[in-house]
Amino acid sequence: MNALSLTHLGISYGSRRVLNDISFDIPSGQVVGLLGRNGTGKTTLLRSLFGLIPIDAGTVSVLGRDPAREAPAMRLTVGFMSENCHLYRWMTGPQLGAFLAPFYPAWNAQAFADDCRRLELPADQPVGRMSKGTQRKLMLALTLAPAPELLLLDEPLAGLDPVARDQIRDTIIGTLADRGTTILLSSQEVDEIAPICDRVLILGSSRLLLDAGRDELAQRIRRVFVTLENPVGAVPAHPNILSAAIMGSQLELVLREFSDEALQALLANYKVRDVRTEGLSLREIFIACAGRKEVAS
Amino acid sequence: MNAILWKEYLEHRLHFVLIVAMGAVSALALAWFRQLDQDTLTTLLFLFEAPLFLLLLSTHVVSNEVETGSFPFLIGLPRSRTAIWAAKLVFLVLFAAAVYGAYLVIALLAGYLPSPFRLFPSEYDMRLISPAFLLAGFPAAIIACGFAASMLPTGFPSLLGMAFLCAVALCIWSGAHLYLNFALVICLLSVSGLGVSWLVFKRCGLMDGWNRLGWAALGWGIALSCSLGIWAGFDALAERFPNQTSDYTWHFQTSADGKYLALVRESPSTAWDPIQNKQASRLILFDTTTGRQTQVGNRQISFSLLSPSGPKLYRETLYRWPGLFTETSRLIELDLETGREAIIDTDATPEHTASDGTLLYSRQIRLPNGKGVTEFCVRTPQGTQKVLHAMLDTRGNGIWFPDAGALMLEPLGSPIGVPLLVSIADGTTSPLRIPALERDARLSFLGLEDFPGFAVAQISVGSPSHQFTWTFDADGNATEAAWLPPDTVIKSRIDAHRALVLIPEADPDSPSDPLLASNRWKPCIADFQAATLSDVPGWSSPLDRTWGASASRDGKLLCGMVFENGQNVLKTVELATGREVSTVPRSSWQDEVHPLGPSAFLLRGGSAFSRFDPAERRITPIN
Amino acid sequence: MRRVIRVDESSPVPIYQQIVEEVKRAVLTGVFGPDQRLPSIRELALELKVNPNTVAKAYQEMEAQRVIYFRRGQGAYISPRSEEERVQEAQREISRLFRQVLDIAHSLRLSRTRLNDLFRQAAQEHPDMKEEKP
Repeated sequence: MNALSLTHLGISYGSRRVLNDISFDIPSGQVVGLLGRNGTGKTTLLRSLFGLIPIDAGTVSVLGRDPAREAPAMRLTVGFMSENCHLYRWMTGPQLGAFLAPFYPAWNAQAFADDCRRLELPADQPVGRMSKGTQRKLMLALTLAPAPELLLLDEPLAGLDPVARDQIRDTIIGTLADRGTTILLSSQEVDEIAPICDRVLILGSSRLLLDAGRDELAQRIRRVFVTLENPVGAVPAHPNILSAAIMGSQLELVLREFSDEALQALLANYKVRDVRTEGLSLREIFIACAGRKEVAS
Repeated sequence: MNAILWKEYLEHRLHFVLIVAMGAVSALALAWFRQLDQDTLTTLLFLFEAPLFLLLLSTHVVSNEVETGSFPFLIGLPRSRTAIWAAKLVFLVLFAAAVYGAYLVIALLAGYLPSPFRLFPSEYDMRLISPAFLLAGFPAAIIACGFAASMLPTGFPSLLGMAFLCAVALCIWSGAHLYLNFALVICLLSVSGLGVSWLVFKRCGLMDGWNRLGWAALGWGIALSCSLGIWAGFDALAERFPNQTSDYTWHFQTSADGKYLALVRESPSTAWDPIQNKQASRLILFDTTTGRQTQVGNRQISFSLLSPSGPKLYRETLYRWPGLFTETSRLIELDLETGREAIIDTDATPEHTASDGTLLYSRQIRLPNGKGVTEFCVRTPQGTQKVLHAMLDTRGNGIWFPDAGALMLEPLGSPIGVPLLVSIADGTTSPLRIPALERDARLSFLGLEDFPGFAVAQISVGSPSHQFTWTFDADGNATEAAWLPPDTVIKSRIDAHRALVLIPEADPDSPSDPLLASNRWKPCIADFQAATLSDVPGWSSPLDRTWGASASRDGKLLCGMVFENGQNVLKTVELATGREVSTVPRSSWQDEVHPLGPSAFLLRGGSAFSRFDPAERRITPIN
Repeated sequence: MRRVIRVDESSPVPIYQQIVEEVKRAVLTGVFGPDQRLPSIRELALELKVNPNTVAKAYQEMEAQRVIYFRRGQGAYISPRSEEERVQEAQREISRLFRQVLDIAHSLRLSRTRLNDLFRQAAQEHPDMKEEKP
């Protein structure tokens, strides 16, 4: 059974359609990165999966439950971490732990204490006086304490200093190693989450632009450096070319579906002296996909 | 649930301490200013402070979460929204109970046990609501109001707006003299407020913006209007259908010239209405010639006295305010012609008026040694006041001899009232020695208006009791009017020394005690100076009831209800000659006849009053 | 293990494969000795900042290729190799590098003869490979 399953999901704010016809399934244990430019609805999607926002179209199944109807039961095994800190500002970390513990039968106080220690969280500082990094780390510790099967993380690294980012990332990796949690996380720190993700979803304006495994993506989308015999002025557009740059007789192409045959077909009309291929970082892939006006997955 | 209760407790425990401290400070302040007594403390703490603080706190509970940004956290817990709201509401109820408990302790420490029945202003008519519901419902309603206000994340502004609308509405409605069913309107408001809040909250969710404020204001306005409408409807219904266990009690008085009729309608004290110590009463003034009625104020009237001469009304008013003020009575002189009110004295009770308009009134005061005494004051028509230095430790009914400056009192509080003669000039008292005053005799004075120089009193003795007539003069000499048969009813004064009396006639059909069973009366003229009894010439029919006859104030006419020629008639004759003035058939056999003005009569059938001019044979309904 | 293995996120080669290659190279160059204990999946994932699944996949692949073996309850260890295996592995690596050099030579339009001359010259200047050992 899939941990998360969306079918033709649609969400509107009034008359504005924020998400339209989103469908994907996430099997148990997978780590999925949700990328998208600002305002494409990543937060909306995550919140709707947690049952905080009503769904206007389609069906959602989170660990086999409908978040709209069974949110309280679902939240026992699904963890959600928002970008902004909504914790009670006058409570300290341990107080928040004590407050939340009765709500979750699976609350592991020892694990929570260990996480707090490892993340160097102060024991008697109220949340209101914590730095953003400390708050985020505390939120993560609280989210992980009830040993959830599925984690929904909204921008877990946003706005943090590099040390804090490392700590958060390490905690996530630790959770993955210990429990094999399914994770759906959104982030703009693409470089830092790329190695953690098994799979990547890129949201465009209300639609999914891309849904592919990380490894597969690395092989599919590649940069090709072509040295031609003679300089050329322009390269005609081709559905397989995501972007092209020319400098004299040097061509730099980013291909959507790389294969040797496809490359041969593309360069059939040119006198090619040398070809060199290179992979792209996830960040570059994202910019190539999401920066285009016209999209097709 | 418990976790949320604990969290709320942690968050608000300082508030609790502050609220209790405020209560303690208020009690101490009252004690400092020597205003500490049961009523003040109770109303201050339980009716003013506790509801106010609870209201403020309950507006805080939800809106604070939203404003400090912890609302999404709360909503994201693995609990349904209703469970979360229910937990907060339960917390508020527990908090309220704790506050009331703490205030109870403060009141106890101050030495007063708050009586729950004095928690509410008596002015507010509680006819339809049971007290248990009121005592639990009032704080619950307060909490609901506040909670409702806080459900709208705008919270405090919408509460202010609602309070403002309430104040405006109350001003308008109170001007219409509507009696407020306070608890009912609060409960209605809170229920509708909760409903409105839930709707607005559900519809607008957590969106910021002016649309939410607009919806909130609109919703509150509609809720307020509906609540006021329902409340007014209930009030009108209650007016129309008073509790069936007993009807209103009516007291009436007419002015000397017969122009004004003052009606005091007392609400019955019912099982629904233990809140009030005194029955709610309204004073309605009628102009007997035109039938125009004026309701004199909407405050509670406990006494009214028409001046026999000149158009002046004296009335006592009782106030109870929620808050710092306690029960006060004010003596107000109302000029019936101009309609102007003037406060003559506070904490005063009008006792008697003399024919020249001199007003005698009394006041209860507390001496430094703690003794409660009655102080008498005299107010002349010229406006000067003279305070008696006579203090008596009990209050009594009595007869006033304004010419002699003496007051005869029957002190209460003893099995046999020993009448006292009090000199108004110097306050000396001397007990009256009434011969033949037996151990179980009850002395009751029938003070007659303007019998100059003497008073007529009736003493009932024996069992079954019969009434015997005595006369008293200003020096305290009592003489039995043995020339009057026992159980004579003294109806009204004819002139300076004569009165219309009714003599019971023996009923030939009743075998045992003919006097006791008699319901037949014969009007006679008693001359107290000559000590004679004479028949009314030209009057042969027996009166069917004692109250069915009266002499006019100018002493010239006698009017009574008799059964003649097979029908009830209102028969009027000249007292001196017996000449028949008029005979008017009357279908109502319940009529009482009272003098109205110099030569007219007031007919009363239950609560219906009419003016009867015998010369013109005209009966005009007044109310 | 500090900074011995590096992975390049932007490479088209999957990360797990990179890990395998890196470990094999380290074994080849002698950085890892036979029966040396590798870090646990958790430790390596934390150090490389990658998904533990990826590391697990790499370990699986390495076990399949018999580069490492697992001792029950104790972790992964480098498989000892016979001299023959080592020589074969080394030759494979050298051949791979030769192919790379040939690719570059072709793009620079160097002839095979020129290439041989260059090789001989480089070998003579190399401190360790100067003398031909049988």
